[in-house]
Amino acid sequence: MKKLDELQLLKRGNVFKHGLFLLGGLVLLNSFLTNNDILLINERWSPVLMVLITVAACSIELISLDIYPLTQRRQRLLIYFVGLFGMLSIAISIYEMINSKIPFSINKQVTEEGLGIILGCIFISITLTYIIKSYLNTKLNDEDI
Amino acid sequence: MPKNLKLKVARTMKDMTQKDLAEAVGVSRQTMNAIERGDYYPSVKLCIEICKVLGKTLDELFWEI
Repeated sequence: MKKLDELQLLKRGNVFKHGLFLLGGLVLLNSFLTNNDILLINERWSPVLMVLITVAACSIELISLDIYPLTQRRQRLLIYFVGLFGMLSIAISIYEMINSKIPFSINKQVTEEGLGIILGCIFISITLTYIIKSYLNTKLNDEDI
Repeated sequence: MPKNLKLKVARTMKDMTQKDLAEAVGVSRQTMNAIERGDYYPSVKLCIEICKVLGKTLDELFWEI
């Protein structure tokens, strides 16, 4: 695990706090929509999506603040794997949609294939953040005086 | 918060980059950058570490008049 200094620990606490608020907000939104018979996503998948959105948001914030808890090498492998998983998820979902002629949504409810694309985008966003942050860090280190 | 120019001057006098100083005191470069920009007030323990590395006193680096 990466050893964090005092400011990084403070920032990490804030990230977890944001994650908690986001998850709470999503749960409330989900309850509100369900109570009003608005089901944007299959009920079976909505809790998974809520957790994944929160995890992704926290990961993105942790990466952008350079406080992701894993060490550099492990971090890189995990994050590239997540990106690859996201791309595969999108590719398989699009293939299924084209082959089985399933739309992205039916009756204002996202299909499982549509959900695959959404999940893929969430995973890819983590990898993209890491790539952009790595580039910016290299640039900043070069400019450091 | 005002920028800590005294810290920046002391660091450059020692011919150190932010990364060098950060490594010497055991924090990240981002934290050192935040201290110099005045975005973060470090703990006394960290201030003392920085002073030891730069060969200055707490007053010389962190006291504001």
